[in-house]
Amino acid sequence: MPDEMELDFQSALRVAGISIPEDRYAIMLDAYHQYRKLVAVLDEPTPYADEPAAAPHLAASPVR
Amino acid sequence: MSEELCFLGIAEAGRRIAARRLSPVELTAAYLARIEAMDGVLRSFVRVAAEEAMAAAKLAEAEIMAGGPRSPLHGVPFALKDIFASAGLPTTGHSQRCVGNIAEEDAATTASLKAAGGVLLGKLATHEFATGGPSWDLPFPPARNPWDLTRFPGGSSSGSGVAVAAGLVPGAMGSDTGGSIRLPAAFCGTAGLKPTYGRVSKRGVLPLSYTLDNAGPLAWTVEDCSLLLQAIAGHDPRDPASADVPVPDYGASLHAGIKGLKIGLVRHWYETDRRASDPVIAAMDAAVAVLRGLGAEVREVTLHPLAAYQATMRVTGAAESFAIHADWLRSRPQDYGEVFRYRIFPGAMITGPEYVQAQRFQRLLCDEMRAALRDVDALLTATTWGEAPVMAEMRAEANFAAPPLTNPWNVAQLPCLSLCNGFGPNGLPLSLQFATRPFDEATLLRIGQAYEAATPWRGKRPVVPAEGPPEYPVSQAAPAPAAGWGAEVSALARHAALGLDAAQFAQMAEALPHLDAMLAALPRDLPFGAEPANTTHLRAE
Repeated sequence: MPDEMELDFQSALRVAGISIPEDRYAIMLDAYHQYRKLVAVLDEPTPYADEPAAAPHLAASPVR
Repeated sequence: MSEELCFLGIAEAGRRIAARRLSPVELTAAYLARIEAMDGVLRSFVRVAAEEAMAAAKLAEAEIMAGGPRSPLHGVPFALKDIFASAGLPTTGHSQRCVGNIAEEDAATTASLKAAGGVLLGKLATHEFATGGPSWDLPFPPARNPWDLTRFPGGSSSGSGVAVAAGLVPGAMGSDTGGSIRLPAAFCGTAGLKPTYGRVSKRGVLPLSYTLDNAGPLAWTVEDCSLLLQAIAGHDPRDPASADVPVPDYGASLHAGIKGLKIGLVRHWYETDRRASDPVIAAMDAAVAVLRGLGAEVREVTLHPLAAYQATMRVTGAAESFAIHADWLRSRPQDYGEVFRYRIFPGAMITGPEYVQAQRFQRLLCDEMRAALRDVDALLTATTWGEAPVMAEMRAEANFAAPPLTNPWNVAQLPCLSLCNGFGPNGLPLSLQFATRPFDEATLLRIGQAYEAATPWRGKRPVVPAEGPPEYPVSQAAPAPAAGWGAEVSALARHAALGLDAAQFAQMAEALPHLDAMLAALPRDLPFGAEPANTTHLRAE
């Protein structure tokens, strides 16, 4: 019986349209566990005034 | 007499105040009386700050009597879309989530307008967080179009467009992520200016999309827009997207005329990409004739199809909006209205690579537009497909389906001015848009002023009925998805950690094919060197 994380892993594969050979499944599932730990670091709610580091910057028109 | 004062506009009111022929107190009282008389029907204000406004007007009067006005806005009322912070007042975003969100500090634009001597009348209706509307399940009702109370006033700066058109305030702040200044300006018959991205600070404004949001003014005339822009334009080191580019005197060239200017007409957007109504096309043809009569050269320009701009705008906007609201949406979805949830939940399905592709495509589209502007001084197209739609027929799905004519200028980040260019068969306003090079708002305003002065459209104001029609909340219910598609959506929702109820699940299943179509419109074969539009810029310490 797959646990919650494994079900989520299977959903992610389906969303991405990826299939994994049977002999690679366990190692990829473990990698997915590690990835979710990294994502959890970003899962802190932030105030909406916190802007991203990347923003569009326009230079004035070169022809003027 | 007090009624007439409400239609003076900013420039004329400022001139009379400067000449001491008009009292700021008298002017403010006139607007407050008109709001009291009419806004029960129009619902453009979510909060009228009457006491604060009268106190500010009295202070302005004393200052002017002592030392003269410090700007053309001194003693002149204004109002704010309720996503702009004003210290001591709630910034609600028209949402239950923020009804108790009292601002500790003015938004940068609010502070600039107050510093110029403007008198804040209150906060104006918006779509929830500048996107979810028109909605009937929010703390405040949606604003009504003063030309026909059954029609959509445009959004999301709906209260701003309504209040300016109905003479409840001479100028208002709006925000524009995909057209939210220019659409209410178009449907309500006012002028609306989306400045160059970075020209006006967004600090203290509730965000919808960090990459696409702009703050800008709505007013009855081009000159009034120029006066508001003069007060709010400039570098703000506390806004990471703010541009450090000098601000010119917009009044200096306002009346210079357009003889010899070259204007590129993007006709294919409203004729072949999707066909606008016949009155819109006729009004655009007539506008071109006016511009040629004023000495401008008008030639046709071909750019990417409208759908490319829509896909870029929607994919970027939906991903960023969901990121802003994700935590609260997942834990307290009931704090948001149905239309907001309908539009923002699909943002959870956009992958990181898809967002980056949209950002890379945005830079290419931006470059294409700027290349076109090497050959012409301005671009021109229609603002809307026709007169304002009937509100009772509007569903959130339409927001995905029809490509707005306003999206390209957000994607290209260019300054854009929408102006009334006539009236349709039902007596409702039609509108055109001019756009110019980055930070060239001066030319934009100059062209708009020349067009406005050569046409009769500023002479007609809406006549507001004493009573409004009954409320008619629009159902956003979607049919249950077929089994196969339902399983697909279920997997997607699970992966995005969305706990959707049955109604939300059906709405997601209805909305996702629209999102998929936009994702499919993004190019798959961009070269390695195609960098995203948003990049990190560091300043030296």
